[in-house]
Amino acid sequence: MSLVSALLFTAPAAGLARDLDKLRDAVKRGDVLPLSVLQEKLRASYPGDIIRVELDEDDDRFIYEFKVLQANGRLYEIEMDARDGRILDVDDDDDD
Amino acid sequence: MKRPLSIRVRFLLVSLVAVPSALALAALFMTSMFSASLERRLEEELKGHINTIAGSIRLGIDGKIEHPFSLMDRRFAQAYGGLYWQIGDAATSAQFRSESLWDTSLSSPDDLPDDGAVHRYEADGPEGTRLIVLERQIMVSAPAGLKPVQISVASDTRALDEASRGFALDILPYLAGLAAFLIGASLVQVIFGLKPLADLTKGLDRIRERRSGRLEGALPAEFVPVEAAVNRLLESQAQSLARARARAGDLAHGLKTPLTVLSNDALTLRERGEGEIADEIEHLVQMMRGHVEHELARSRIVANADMRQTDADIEKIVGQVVKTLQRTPKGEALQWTVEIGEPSHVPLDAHDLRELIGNLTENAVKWASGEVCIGWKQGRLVVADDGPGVDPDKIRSMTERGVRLDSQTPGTGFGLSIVKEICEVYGLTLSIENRQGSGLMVSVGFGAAE
Repeated sequence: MSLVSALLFTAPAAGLARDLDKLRDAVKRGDVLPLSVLQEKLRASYPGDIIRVELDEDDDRFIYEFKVLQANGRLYEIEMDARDGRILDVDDDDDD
Repeated sequence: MKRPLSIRVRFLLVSLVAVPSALALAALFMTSMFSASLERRLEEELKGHINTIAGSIRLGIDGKIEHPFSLMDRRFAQAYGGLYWQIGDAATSAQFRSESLWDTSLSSPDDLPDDGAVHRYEADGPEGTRLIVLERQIMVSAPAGLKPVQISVASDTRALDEASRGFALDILPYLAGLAAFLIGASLVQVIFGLKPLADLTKGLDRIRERRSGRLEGALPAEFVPVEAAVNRLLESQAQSLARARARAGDLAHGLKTPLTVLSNDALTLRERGEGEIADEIEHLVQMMRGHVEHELARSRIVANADMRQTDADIEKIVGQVVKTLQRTPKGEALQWTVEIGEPSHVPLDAHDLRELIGNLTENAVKWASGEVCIGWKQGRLVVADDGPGVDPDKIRSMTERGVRLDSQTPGTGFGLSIVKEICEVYGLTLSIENRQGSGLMVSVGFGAAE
């Protein structure tokens, strides 16, 4: 199965580069876990294809929103705290 | 008798049939492999589109699917663009389609299982195209519980078919080249493989020319049975020939003394006045002596032929013969023309060749009125004179094989007996004809020297 991750942001396009720079610096400082580690944690709990990755930044707090499509067709939306990989919410259809 | 097809032609025919059909099969196989791999690639792409669509599905407050954003590929946006998507909501029968579907929609077969796996089917698309469709049912959580959503992505096979056709056309020249090479190689193979046959022919020729008594030499292992069979045949033939010759020689020798006695008896009879009977006996004795001499000469020639160590040179022997005859009273007065323009080694015993040329030339000198010509060209020795020639009826009987010796009694003017013997033993062709105008032309063909 091919893994297709589309990295998309809810923030306007202009703020995209700025957000990513902030994220990179935070990962460098060690405040935030890198995406590769978070995806591994996610796969341990929710095996399947990660078909979409979104990032929310609020007051230097980074929240990832993943969409996972499992082999049986079940689609999960999972929010994860980028600091420690804690799963905050599952299947919350919050459109922010 | 009609010859069967040559081995070269057989090999050529087989490779002309086998090589192109093998390569045609290979071309079909390669093209279908190429198409299959393109199709796999296309299906991976379509799966990617399904995932992108699944990731972008959003449900409104009412639990209904909202229209998704437009996918990047412009083929999704063009009418009949070749790439299509469709989202179906079974519960509400709401349907979203790509703009490329325009006035059509994708309809999945009824028997597609709802197991969440990706299913592939083919369908008819717009403008008579064939579509490869991948469909997957995913479960999305909605306020009212899990909601099944069908996502279908399709592509037409135009690009695929074109690429396959292009591939087939691309490999065509290489396959044609390969076919030509393989057919050529099979020809080279058979020519190279059959080369030893020439050696076999050479070996047999040596036996015929009496340079060798057996088939020997470096022949491939496949010829060992042939070699053995030929040698067995030669041995048994040589044995029976030797026996027959020995018997003929013994017979000739055995008759010599009784003939002498008989000749003396004829003399005695003549003295007694029985002249008529004496003449008859004399005549018979002469004939029988002719037979005996002939047989003895023949066995000497055969012995020469068998024991011959080297070839003879026509040019040298003609030179010697002409030199000798030019010193005779008759020869001095004649005009001599000798034309020997090419290598003239022939597989004959030198003594026999001298006998042959000597007899022919002597005869020409005997009958010539002004000139004698001797020529050697293309394997034929020609001796001609400008004498009176011979009666055409007689010519035929002179060259016939096994002419009765009593018609060749001395004094007929042509001592051909020895010449004929030599020709027979060595397998030479003898021909006698009258020249245009006047004169006689005798030619001897040395077949093997041609």
